[in-house]
Amino acid sequence: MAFDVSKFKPKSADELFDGLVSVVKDVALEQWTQIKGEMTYHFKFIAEKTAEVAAKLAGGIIDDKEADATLHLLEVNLNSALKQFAFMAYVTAQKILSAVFNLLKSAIRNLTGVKLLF
Amino acid sequence: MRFSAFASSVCLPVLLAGCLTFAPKYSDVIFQKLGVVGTELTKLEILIETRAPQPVAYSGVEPLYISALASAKEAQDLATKRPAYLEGQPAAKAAELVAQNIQACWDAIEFSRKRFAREGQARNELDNIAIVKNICAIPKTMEGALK
Repeated sequence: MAFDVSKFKPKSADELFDGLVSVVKDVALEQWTQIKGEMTYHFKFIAEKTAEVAAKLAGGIIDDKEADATLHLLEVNLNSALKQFAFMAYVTAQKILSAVFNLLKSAIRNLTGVKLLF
Repeated sequence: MRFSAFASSVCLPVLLAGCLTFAPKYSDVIFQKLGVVGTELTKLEILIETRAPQPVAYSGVEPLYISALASAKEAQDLATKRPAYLEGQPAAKAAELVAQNIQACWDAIEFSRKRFAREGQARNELDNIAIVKNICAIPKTMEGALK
């Protein structure tokens, strides 16, 4: 939703609330799209590589020792991907916090003419 | 950059709330160092690809492993310092996750190097390197998300 933060001038608490909801929604949606894209990529990659290891092992192209090593790396990869997922939640929280404060600041400036420094 | 400006400026009005931050400040050095790790691993990949089907001797790949490990270590040294000065903030946890994933990157390179040194080039070595590269790209993406 196109929402001009710099011109935001709520006439009531309700309007202020609606503005906040819309800003949060925009940021959350943008972050979610990114998180979904990242996670899809990792799970696909891990699934494909695991299938390759299985096929190569079954076909005698690699031995169990080589398969073991590759599977160990895939396990590390999955672990890191899950930590990235957790990390993205913090980034989202930070982005929402920034967006909300920007909006409040803008509302106060547009309503009172006072430019707060925070 | 935006986070740091935010973190320092938002503190006054929200003094009572305790200037909450959820994400650490972006570090360009960490980002660049992890970029070097990726470049070295790509060189390793190309070396093995160009020699194929002939396997590469460990002595040929060692310098690339060493330099990838060195860059990862430098990024890690910086990343492990961050949680300490964010103590008590949710951002400390986020910073820790980056540090843990850089450690995972270093461990994966070292695991791959040791295996190569011990047993020579695996028949699916390119799979291994692709996975290590992917593991090391994760903390770089994470750091990049802080921009």
